[in-house]
Formats: sequence, C-alpha cells, structure tokens
Amino acid sequence: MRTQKKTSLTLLLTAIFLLLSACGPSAAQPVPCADVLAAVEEAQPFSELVPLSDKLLQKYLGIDAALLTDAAMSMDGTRVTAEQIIVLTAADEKSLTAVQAALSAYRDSYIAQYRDYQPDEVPKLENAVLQTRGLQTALVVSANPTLAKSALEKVWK
Amino acid sequence: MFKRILAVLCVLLILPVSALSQAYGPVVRSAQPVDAAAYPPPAVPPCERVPDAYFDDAVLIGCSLMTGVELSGSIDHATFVARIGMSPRGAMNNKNFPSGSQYLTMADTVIALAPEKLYIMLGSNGIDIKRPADVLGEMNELLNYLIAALPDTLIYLISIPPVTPKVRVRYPYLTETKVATYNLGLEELASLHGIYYLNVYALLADDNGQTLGKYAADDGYHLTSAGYQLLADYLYTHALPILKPAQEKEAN
Repeated sequence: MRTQKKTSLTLLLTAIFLLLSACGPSAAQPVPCADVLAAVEEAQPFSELVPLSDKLLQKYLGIDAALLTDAAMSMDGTRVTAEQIIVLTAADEKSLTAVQAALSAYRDSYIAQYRDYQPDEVPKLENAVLQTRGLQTALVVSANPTLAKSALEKVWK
Repeated sequence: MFKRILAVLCVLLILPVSALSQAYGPVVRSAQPVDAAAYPPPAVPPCERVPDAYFDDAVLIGCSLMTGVELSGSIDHATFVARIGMSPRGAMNNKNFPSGSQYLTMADTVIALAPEKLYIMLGSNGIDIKRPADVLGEMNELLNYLIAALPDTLIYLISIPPVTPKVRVRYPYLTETKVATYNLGLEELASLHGIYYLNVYALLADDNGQTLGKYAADDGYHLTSAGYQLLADYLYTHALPILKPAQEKEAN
C-alpha cells in the first residue's frame, strides 16, 4: 500500500515536472533569431528593412562572434530612419551580460549621432524596446514600441 | 605675328586653369597609379564589370548615403568608413572613428588604412546649409590632405545624388540647383587634382535634375535600395586598371 502511494506520488510529480518544463522558452532551445526578427517585422510597418551580413553585424555592434550562437539584424536600408531590429542569442550567461552591455552602448551611440543629424528619430531610439528572454536579447527601434513588445512576447511564449 | 597669336593662345589656355586654382586655393596634384595617357582624368570610361576582388584594397568614405551603399551589401569586399551626417569639413576635423584607445578623423582613418583605391562621396551634408563654393573649398582641403599622404592611391570622387522637392521639408536650403552646381565643381576639382570623377548623378537624375522616382527615398534626400544598388553597379562598371610599378615607370 505504502509502495503504491510512493509510486503514484513519484509519477504525479514527474508528470507535473514534464508539464511545467514544456511551457515557456527553454534556455537550451531559444526561438531562432531570424524567426523572432520576422515576427517583430510583421507586427507593424517598418521602413525598407534590409538584412545585415554577419560581417556587418559584427562591425556595427562591435560584439565578438564567439559570444553568440545565433544572430539576426535588419536596418532601414534607405537610411531615412533609425529603424532596426536586432536579435542575438548569447552563448552563455557570462556572454549575455557582455551582449546586453554592447547593445545598450550601441543604442546610446545612435542617440548621440541622431540628436544632431535627425532629431525627429531620437524618440524612436529613446523608446526602443530592449528585452531579454533566457539567453536571447532583442533591440527594436520602431515607430510603435508597444507593438514591438507584444510581438516579442508572442514569439517568445 | 604667329608668335604673338601663340602667346595669346597660351595665356587663354592657362588663365582658366589658374583662375580655378585661385578659386580653390592651393591644389595638390595626385600621381595616380593609372596610365594617364590612356585614361586622362577626370573621366572614367565604362568597362567590363570588374570582379569583386577589385575592391579588396578599396576604401569607400562618405555620409549616410555611403552607409546605404554599405548596407546594400553590393560591394562586400570593400572597406567602408562612413558615418551619418559626415561632411568634407567633418572628415577633416571630427574624431569619430575608434582606433585602439583613441579616436581619429575620417581622413586619418583612411590614411592609416593606406588603400590602393579610395572612393569619396561627400558634400550632401554641407550644401544643405552652405554655398556649393564653400563646401568645394572644404573638399579641396580634404583632397590636398589625402593626396599628400596617399600619393600612390587611385582616388575617385563620386558625385552626390540628386534630390527631390520633398527634401526641403527637412532641409529647406537644399535645392536641385545646388546639387548640380556642386557636382560640376567636384568634376573641376577632380581635373585640378588629377584624380577621377564618377558621375552617378547622371544615372539617378531626371531631366529636371531630380531623383528618378524608383530611386528616391521618401525624404527626397536618400535613395531606395534600388538606388544604392545602381550606384554600386556603376562602380563595378567604371573602374580603372592599376599600373604595377614596372608598368608605371614605363608609362611615365
């Protein structure tokens, strides 16, 4: 009787554990960066976004490729606006801290540049969505940060 | 009588060039690594599309327009040194480009790279608030500085793109006439310095000197991706062969 109860309890706990681990993002298997970028881009109208090569991504962000396991970046190819979407997956927790710091510094440098060049674009940069889920970080500079946030939450669910 | 006529002709020939030089101040001439007899500057004739490797040792400098070319990925082998808002004066004076623990100007960054080929597209930021003649004076200073430091570099000046009337929403003093005037001055400067001029403006402009619809971005100032692609393609099909040292000696 006691053994039966123990077995049932173990089975129940295992089932609960499996159920919980199936929900929410897994740090070991984040959504591919390209898919996150596509979801954010679809959620609102952007200027003519063009994808950046790995070489350009590293040049613009100044992030060592060894810190990342996946990356996707698109910017306004016309250069009329500051709009862009960046999604990066860090290799580990330590790399994540460096990646977040680099993205934050990148956004700040753009704010400084655009303040003199195109002040109208500064609010988009100041209100840019910078969010992290697990080892994945996204920076979205857009006309509607609310839509950007909800697109991220939906794709990261 | 004949000698007098010859003397007058010589004065008439020299006078325009010296007048131009005076308009810009001192001018440093480039000793381009190109057969100048076969390719007299500033014109660059069309050629078969060069391979990507032509741009392995090329540096392209400019403002946001040049960042648009970079983002298009069309000249992937080149090195770009470009920054939004850059002007000829800014290229000489503003220390924006990190180099180790310090920051360098665009001009010094290029000199440190010591490219075999240098493409310059600057002036749109400049003529938006100043007279073309003033910005051309600043471009002359930049060219003097670069040519003195890079005597063996093949230098191309790229015309700035046209604009549309929409541009005056953001840049009220930027007109189609100023752009055309500036580009004429660029061609003159190229001739004075013995360097080359790439007239992409002619490809992008309609009969009114405005950007053709499919190449004009919404702000009337920048280009669409198709516009940047067209500009990049022009560089591939207007490229000069570099003389190797032995060939250079023979040509001279």
